[in-house]
Amino acid sequence: MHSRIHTFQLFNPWLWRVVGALMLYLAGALLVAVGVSLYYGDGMQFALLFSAAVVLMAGLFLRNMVGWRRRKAAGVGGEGLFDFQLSLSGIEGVESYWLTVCVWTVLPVVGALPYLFTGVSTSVTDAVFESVSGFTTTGSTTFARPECLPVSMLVYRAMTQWVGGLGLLLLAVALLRRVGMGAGSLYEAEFSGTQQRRLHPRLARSVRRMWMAYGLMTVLMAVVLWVQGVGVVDAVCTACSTVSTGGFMTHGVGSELAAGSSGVMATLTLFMLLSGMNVAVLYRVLTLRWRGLWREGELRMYVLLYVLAVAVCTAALVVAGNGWEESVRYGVFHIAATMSTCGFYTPAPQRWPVVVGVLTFALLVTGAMSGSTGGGMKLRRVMIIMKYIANYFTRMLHPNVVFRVKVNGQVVENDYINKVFAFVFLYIVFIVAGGFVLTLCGCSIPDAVCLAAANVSNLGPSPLINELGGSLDYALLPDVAKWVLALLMIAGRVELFALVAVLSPSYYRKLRIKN
Amino acid sequence: MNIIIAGDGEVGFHLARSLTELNHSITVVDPDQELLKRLERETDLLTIAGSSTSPRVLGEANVGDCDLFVAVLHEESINLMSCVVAKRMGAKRTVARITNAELLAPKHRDMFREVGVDELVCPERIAAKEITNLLNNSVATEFFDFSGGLLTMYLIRIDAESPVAGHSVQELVQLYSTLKARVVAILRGGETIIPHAGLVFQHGDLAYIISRPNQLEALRKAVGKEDVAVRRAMIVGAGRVGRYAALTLEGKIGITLFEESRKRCEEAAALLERTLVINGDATDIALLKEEGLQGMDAFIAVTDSSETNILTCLHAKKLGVKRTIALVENTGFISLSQDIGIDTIINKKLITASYISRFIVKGDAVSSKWLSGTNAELIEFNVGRWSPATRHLIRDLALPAGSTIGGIIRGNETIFPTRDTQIKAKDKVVVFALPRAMEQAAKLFN
Repeated sequence: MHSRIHTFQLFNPWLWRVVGALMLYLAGALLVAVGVSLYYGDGMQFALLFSAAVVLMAGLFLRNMVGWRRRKAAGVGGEGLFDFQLSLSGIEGVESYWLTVCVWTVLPVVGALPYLFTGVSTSVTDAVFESVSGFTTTGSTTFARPECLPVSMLVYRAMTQWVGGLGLLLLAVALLRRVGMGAGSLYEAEFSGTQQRRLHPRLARSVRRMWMAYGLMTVLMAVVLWVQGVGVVDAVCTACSTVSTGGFMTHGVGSELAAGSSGVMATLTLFMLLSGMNVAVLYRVLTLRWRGLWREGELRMYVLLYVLAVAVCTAALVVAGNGWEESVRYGVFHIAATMSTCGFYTPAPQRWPVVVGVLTFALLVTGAMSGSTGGGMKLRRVMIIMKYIANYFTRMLHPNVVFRVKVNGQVVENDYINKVFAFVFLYIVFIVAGGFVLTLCGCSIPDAVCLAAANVSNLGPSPLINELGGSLDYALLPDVAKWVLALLMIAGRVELFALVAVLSPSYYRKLRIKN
Repeated sequence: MNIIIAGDGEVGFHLARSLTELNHSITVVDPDQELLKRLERETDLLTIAGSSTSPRVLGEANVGDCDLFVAVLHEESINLMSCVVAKRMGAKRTVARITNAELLAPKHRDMFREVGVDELVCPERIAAKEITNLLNNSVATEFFDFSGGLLTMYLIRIDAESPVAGHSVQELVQLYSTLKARVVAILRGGETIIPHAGLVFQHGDLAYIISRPNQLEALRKAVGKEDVAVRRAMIVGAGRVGRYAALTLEGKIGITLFEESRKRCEEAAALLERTLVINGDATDIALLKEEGLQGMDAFIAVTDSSETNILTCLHAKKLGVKRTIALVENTGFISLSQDIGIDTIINKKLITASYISRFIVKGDAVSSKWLSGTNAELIEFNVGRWSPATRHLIRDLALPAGSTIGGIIRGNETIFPTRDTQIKAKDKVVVFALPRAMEQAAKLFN
């Protein structure tokens, strides 16, 4: 019935209701920031309150006004003005791509307002860049010195990362009252890398469990950091940045790291590794259901790859003439930051061999486990491709051989394998194309490629990027480069396909035919 | 014993016939009236047409008085359901044939016992197990353990180059005086011969020899078999038997699995980790050669077609594959294929019937095996306290014609009987007997 009332699906009112409702939550987050501002007296309360008001108005408008007449005609709606629970019954199949892209572009852009209003960012470009980097959990920042940021903005920035970690769409799904046709595809859009069974038969409940595991881990980490003597704000912000694999560094934690605090370093490393894990696996770890956990092929690959990479990295650093202790510390921390695509940055040792750079590049592209908050191509895809290629060699010797690629004993259908190959190809295209534009902006070729890769993988800062130097100040880049990088971040976060689909003309044709 | 067999398929038919010969009272329940008529004409048993899950039909079959209820229809769920109903209606013991080997896992057993299914039989799994056992043993083409492995029956093919060919049984005993073994029967040209001391082994004979497992090496030398360790094997046919066999063998040895149907290939590839699954026609010898048939140590043909299995095995044999195993469902082909040189014949019906018979003879005899290629049976009797056999030395026992004593197990000891051996109460005696001698033998030892 409801599909009849859509005239043009780009303005599907149900879709904008989701965006609007999420904006209401953003306004809520801003109000929290106002509270922080008042408590610490950093003087940002009015600017933040104003942003909150603007976001709230926009959210309410989108949520309640767009398509109001049509909804009324269809006899749906009826929820109160401030009823935040959503019903997604009006969004179907292919429209979920459009929704994905809308959510992941509109919210970060709206979320850039506080940076502008408070004046911490001087240009629209910088504000949007910072906001996109936060929501996509990339962690690239234009603020070389986070200690200059007001406390409330630090907290706000960390909150955007925290929400972006599990994903805005999953937040929407968690809030669903009635899960309609669209919800399943939303879940898939957010977690396209996995083919995992849900934690609960009811989608909304299984997503709520994921949020619970995620929240629990954040609290745990913040407490551990606080016990180790990190300030409350630093502890909370860093916890948010870590579990979301974002990687915005605060001054307090950054200076602890620079001072060589082993405790803080170990905590960060451990939680970075945990964050790189599939949320369902993490849920099992946290609820102590460890039986058969090691049979999870991707987890095994993740752990083994980590151990191997640390060994190689440390050995390379030692051979290059660094001290043992420094090499081990750096290897353990740096590889965890790279593989989880957290991108926390600790000053690299003096002698930094090229081989570590190549290793870092490879690891940031392969990324974390599928279904995790981390980015990159995801190890599951890498595993599927490796198995496929191994089988391909067998086929060269035995032309009639029949094989199936299996992950955890589960057959991966050929259709899915094709999709994985398409994904990897697209990934490379994005890196190359991004690198191309960045070279035009004046970056050296290695820097351009590394920048593109680090941002499409949502890694953010990495010692790979020489041009920006130790401080990793993205502020030095020209505006065009920042916009390109922001686009890459979003592309990486929505796992490419949704963005490519929405940008292709045939997608609109399909949407029109639907009407 | 009152036995109800539900299902007059191949397994049921064979089971019914063999059990009738052992003097059990058999009732067969099956929906197919035509098949039942044929069975009733051939054998002395009662048949009832109808569904085995129907309480009315089971009531007619007098299920309340039955000692054993065997459901061997093709459909697994019907078998399980029939057993549940039969058990509730008073059957003492129930056996269901299943197709999904997953149910055999020990953790599921109690669940099935609770609902009334006492035993599960998966013919495909038994066949697969038989295949893996055979590959681990390079001497015998068939073997069977008694008393948990104290004694074993080996079926050994006498080749032309075998040192015993042309010698008599007595000469074999004199030549290898330390060899603890006893020849209980020889299968020659489809005929079962209970050997006397002067019988001369001929090339092509199949000898049933009872021995101890630790004598295997000596036995191998005596009959002149090469010690072939199987490292690579080719299995043709990815049906259940082929898949289960590959599943148990892969990892230990290299397996190439051949299958004509693309769909079955994909199923097999999904199940198996290290097996090379090849899609192709097994009768296409060029293809088999291309996949390295000549380098294989064993060739196992388990397609649905007995003819294909026999032919491809012959071809493999010709190309120099040392061990060939064929699944032959058509019982008429068994002795024929043994004659033309295929090492081992597997027959699901026979092994299933053999397996199920363990539940029947329990009490007086422990395990038994119907042998392929002959209708004779090997039975392990628990010698009763008042058994007539304990009263005389073996030479004075009136052993029925067509039977012979293979070995005696006393406690943990094994005795290969001579004419002067005395059988005692509580001994276990392994007896080889033709069907006509079975009943008399049972009387003698019980």
